[in-house]
Amino acid sequence: MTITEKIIGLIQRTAKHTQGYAITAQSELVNQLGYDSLKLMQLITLLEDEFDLMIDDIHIGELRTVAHLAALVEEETACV
Amino acid sequence: MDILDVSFSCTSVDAVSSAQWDTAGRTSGLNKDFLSIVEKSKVNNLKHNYLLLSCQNDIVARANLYEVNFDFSTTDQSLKDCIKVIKHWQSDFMDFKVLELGLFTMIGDGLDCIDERYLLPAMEATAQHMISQAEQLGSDFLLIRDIPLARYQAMQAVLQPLGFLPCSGFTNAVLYNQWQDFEQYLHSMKSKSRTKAKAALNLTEKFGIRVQVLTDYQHLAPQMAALWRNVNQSSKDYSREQLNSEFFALTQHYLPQHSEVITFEHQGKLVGFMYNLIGADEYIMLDWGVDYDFEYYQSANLYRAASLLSVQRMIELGKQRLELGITNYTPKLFLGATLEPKLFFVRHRTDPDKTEALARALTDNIQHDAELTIPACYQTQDRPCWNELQWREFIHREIDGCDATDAFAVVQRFGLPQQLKLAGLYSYYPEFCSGQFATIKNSAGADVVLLGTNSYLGLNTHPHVVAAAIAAVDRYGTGCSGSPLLNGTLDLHNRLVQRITAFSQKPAALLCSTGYQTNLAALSALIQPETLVLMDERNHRSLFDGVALAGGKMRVFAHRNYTQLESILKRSQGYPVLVVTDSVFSMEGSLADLPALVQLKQQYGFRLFVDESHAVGVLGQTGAGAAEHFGCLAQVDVVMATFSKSFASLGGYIAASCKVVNYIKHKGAGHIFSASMPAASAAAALAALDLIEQGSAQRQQLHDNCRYFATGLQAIGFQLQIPPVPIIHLILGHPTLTLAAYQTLLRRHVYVNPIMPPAVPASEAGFRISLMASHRQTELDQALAEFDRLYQEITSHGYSLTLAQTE
Repeated sequence: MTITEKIIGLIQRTAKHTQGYAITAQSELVNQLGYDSLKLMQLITLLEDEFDLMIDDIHIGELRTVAHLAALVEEETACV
Repeated sequence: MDILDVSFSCTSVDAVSSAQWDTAGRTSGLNKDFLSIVEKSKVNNLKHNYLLLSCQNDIVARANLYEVNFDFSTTDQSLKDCIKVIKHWQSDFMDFKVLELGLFTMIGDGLDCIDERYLLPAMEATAQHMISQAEQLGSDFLLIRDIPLARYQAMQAVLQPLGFLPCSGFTNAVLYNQWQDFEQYLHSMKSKSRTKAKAALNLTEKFGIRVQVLTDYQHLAPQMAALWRNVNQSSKDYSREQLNSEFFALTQHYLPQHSEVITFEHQGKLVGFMYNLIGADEYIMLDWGVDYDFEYYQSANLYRAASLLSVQRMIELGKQRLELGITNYTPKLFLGATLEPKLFFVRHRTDPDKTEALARALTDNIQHDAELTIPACYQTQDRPCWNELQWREFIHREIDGCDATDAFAVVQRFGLPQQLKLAGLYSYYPEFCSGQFATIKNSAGADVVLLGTNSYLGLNTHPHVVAAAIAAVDRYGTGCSGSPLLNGTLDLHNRLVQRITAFSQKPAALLCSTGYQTNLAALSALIQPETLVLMDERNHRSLFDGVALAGGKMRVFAHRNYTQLESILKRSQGYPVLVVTDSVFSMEGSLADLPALVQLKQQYGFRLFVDESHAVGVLGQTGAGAAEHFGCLAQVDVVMATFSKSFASLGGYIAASCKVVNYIKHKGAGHIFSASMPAASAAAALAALDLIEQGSAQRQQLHDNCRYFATGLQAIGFQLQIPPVPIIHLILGHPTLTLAAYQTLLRRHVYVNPIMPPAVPASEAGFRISLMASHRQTELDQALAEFDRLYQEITSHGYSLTLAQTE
């Protein structure tokens, strides 16, 4: 399972709007999937659980799409 | 621009001759024959108004207006499970009298003219006529339907000055003819689709179904109406037409050359049909009916066969396009249809707020996201393709009426209260006209059982507390007009601090003027940029805001999921960690497992901040809160609580070590830069503390009342646990249902708090019922009787509370 697939799995468990959408790397977290700041933080925690890492907070504000999340996870896991 | 006048207006097509009417425009859908069918069959009891418009005495345009009852709730798919019960309580919910310009039963222009240059002045004159007509009829809304995107900007320039706002209309499906014959069409399909299409057309051999195209179908009208009703009743999508037998019979009478029916017969019985119109350039797939009980309904795909046969007829008749209409898009996309969004313009007769509310509601509800594509005609160089988000954004921006760079653009966009008001569901800021006893007076003077206050012990009307507040005002006046750091500290404040210190079993305490501010002041002072704050996801907003103000690093763990908390702690070694939690979660009435947190604290060495706002006065031997109840108060580093709940006053406190309190007293901005608690509030809190300290009997009564009420709700059938604190979260599972149920209870003299997103997820929307020690059994029984009635109403209208409450 790729990082993106794992992330999509986590999103399906937490997102507000998943009906009617095929979640893809291009899906927008706030506009399409209904994430607010709290939901996003819950997702970050789940990501950190899943991939056993700590994401630097300065990146969180830049997250717009699933692809951004995947890139961030890839970057952080590469550093470990 | 030419100036047009409405030169003729009538309420029946009989009042105008074909010669006059049919030469006033070019669209065949507006011809007298088509209009006659709708009028004569009396579908939906429309009130008709036909207009001819003139330019310098020449008739150059015509318009079709009608007033119809439009139930806008049918456009909101999320309501489908609960709409019946909402309508039971509020029969006119989202049902409005709408004066429309359009074509009833089909998509198309309700206004046309002999030359394109008359279109805009004709629209202006028609819209002005609609405004005065709506006044006469008392219509709620005016609606101009089916404006193609290519014409939007020109129409907008004419209609916006008249008070109309644009919104999303229904997407129309069209198949453009580009084939010599049907075989060629089938060849143009992808091989998988072609196989499916051929299979669908193989009805006679496979199922013994007789397929015919009939131009003489009048005798079938009653059966067609019955099959059409089958489809309409089970429709998941928007549908408001109420077609009847007369409608189908009249079409043949009025349109002998312009209508036909594709019929499916099995053993001599009509089991399905597609009723189609034949226009000058277009072939229109109009109405579909089927017998769901037909034995081969599941295996024979009659709808697919009917739509393929419609494609065949369009090609055979040499028409330019097949109009497939709105909703149910998937099978239309199978045919290769193009989806073309249309715009509406709306206007409330008198209230611009309602205009905006409806425009936004329709824009959000009417389009199905996955089905929207923007045609080439509206694509621009810098925006070659749009997705549904950009489409919605485009329309909302048009409604906003301000530039995206306006600092208040977000204010312009915020429309939730207006939308709730339009639906008759706005429930916030209810006004009461008495103190908060076990019952309160509503504005009509009636007693309402109060099951929605945080005054758990009922002390805010207690004579001892009230007298103390009055005496304090007499002695100290009304306000302190200064910071506690400087001129704002009274002997009364210091007495309260001493008493709270003892009550909290901590070395020191400090006061703030509100509970919200207490959390902001304490957390913003204590959290440093390098601090990692770990929060329960259901913590109160003030705790999140305190952390945000401090700017520390924050992670949230799932509600009371201490396994997840531990996994975060494990990978956060080396960080200075502060764990922040409510002890009683105010929305759901759940309790933090403080012993589990204390155990983790001992293992991982973090600091623990506990908000006891809903627990003080309610839990613990002396009422000191949940930490006292669990016997772990000494292990909690910082206790926060408010005076606005059991303490029946206003303000908040922090109780902690002398060092912590001293730090916040000199670094906590919310403490220093705000005037101190008014004397009356401090005195009331002191007097309430007297009663709390003596109040174990009251606490017992409170818990007894809660158990009694929760057990009563269980006996009615509601699925819930007996809560550990006097807060019962009754899940209804839908925000709109919750507001409608809340208003119903309020009309029946029971007040509960509706709890809605974002405070809880939508699936947990429902009531927050809070009990008081001062409730008597008669009041609780009165409320339970109303809950029983509510339960019966909800479940008898097909809404599954069990599903909502166990999901």
